[in-house]
Amino acid sequence: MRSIMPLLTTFSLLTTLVAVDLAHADVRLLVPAFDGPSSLGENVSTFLAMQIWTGLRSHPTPNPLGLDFGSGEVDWSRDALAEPTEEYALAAAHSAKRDLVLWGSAFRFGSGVVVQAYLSVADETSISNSGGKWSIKNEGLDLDLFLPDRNFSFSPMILPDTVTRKYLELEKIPLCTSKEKSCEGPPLNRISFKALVQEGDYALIQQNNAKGWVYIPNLSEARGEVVNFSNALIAYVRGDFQQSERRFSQVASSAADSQIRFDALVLAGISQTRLGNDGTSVLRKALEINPYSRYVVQALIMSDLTVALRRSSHYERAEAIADAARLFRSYRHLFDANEVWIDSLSNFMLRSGCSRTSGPQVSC
Amino acid sequence: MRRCVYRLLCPILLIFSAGHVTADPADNRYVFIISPKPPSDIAKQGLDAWVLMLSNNSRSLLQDVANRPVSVVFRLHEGLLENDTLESWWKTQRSLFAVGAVAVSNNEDKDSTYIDSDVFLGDLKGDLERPYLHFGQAIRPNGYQSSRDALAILTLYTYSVDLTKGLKAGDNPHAACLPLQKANLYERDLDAATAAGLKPLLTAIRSGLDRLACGGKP
Repeated sequence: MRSIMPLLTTFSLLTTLVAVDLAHADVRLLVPAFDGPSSLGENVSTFLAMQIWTGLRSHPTPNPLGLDFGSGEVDWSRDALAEPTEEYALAAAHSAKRDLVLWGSAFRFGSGVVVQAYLSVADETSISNSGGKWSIKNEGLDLDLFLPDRNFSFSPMILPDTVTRKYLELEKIPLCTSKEKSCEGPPLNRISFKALVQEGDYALIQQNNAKGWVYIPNLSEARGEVVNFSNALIAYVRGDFQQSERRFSQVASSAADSQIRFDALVLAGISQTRLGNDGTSVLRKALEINPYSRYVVQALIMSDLTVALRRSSHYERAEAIADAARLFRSYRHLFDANEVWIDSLSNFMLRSGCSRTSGPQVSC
Repeated sequence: MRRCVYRLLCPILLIFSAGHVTADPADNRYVFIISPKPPSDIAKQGLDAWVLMLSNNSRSLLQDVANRPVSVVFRLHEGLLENDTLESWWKTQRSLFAVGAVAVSNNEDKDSTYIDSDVFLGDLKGDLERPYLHFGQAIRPNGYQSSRDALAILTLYTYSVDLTKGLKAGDNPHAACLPLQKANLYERDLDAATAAGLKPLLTAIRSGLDRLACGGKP
């Protein structure tokens, strides 16, 4: 529901990262200018931020349940990081009090230019306190799971020279009255504007009292991956699991790198379960793809338990909990005995009808 | 550190300036790159791009899989490659690997730059038969991903073996499994030529995953 988003979502370009009202922002993404030659990095990050913002939504449409996912905020700075590293990206996000940071660089590689983007969690506490931490409850006990990673690395965007030239020429981005690639319209004022909606390769921009269309040159297929995954993660943290499931699934079935596709598949499965459906089959598929991921094992166990607790039949519930227990036994050696998650799981299972056998072992 | 005007040159400057480093924290791991002087400007540009790719991507790689702060420190040394050059450099620090990188190119064509790499893994060879690997990478845009992932796999594998060496019987192997399972995922994105060059390493990764029972016990 893009048309109402500006009411609840702010999008601003900051030359300095101060004096921003965060009072109503639940999830805040910082996009510093990407490192790169001339204006290339800045232009690439500008368009990525614009697209991510136009994909945010405050509630589903239709909205029979009256859901409100709060507000989201995408801010970007024209200043590049002192160095294009995770360390500097996190420092910039902490300083600006942002939860997430999308950062990266554009650099020459052979005859072309490669753009490498990353999405990092800057404020774990804030993200956890929102929807970033999956928590299931039973008789006063919590079992929690955070995100699979703190830093997500996207597939490289390979820019042929024709696209690179196009981006370098964008010193003045024209604001057009209709969807045109170029026009004689006034230049986009990069200090302050609002992206209203995106349609295809064009974004409708409001600048002062004027509105106009801006053409967003196609970067590569990986652009969609960056935009979809960032949007999905913001939706996930805001508790908009319908949106996060859809966007993560798009990344999972794309031609992206295996690692980011895998993370997306796992988060799509978790989103399904958190939405009230059963994401277990998606998580089982993820475990088949990568049977070495302890995180997927944890997610699958939690999904099994969540689904079990929804069952009204005692027999069905016991079966689902026994499945989770069997899976856990197989991977038990990958956990330390004193890990909080293990303690919570054991207690959770005991409250769910299992019994303690020896030491920390639980049988259902 | 002052902001570098030409980003491409910064890692090189950092590495060269690191010859007189102060005492390193215990959890630094070193990667040595020894390279003869490139024969042309194009070859030098290709080598610089290759080093930038290696350093940029490996920096955050270990932070993502380590449960405590750990950094990869890169040292670039311009010099000839003798028989024991790689071993000598590898032994000077707590190293992941030392790589002899030879840049060759045709001056007319930027896409023809090729980095021929000999790698020494020392006692971090793990399940490899020999502590040596050899592979080549063309510096061309469409080969970027495969080249990046090959070096990521090498970094993750050696780090995992380093952690495995510290394990005692009955210890939880998860810390060593984590980089290994990521390396296993990266493997899927390699192009056929790179995968063929790294075949012994890829086999060693699968062997390590099985030996540590990273995929669970029956």
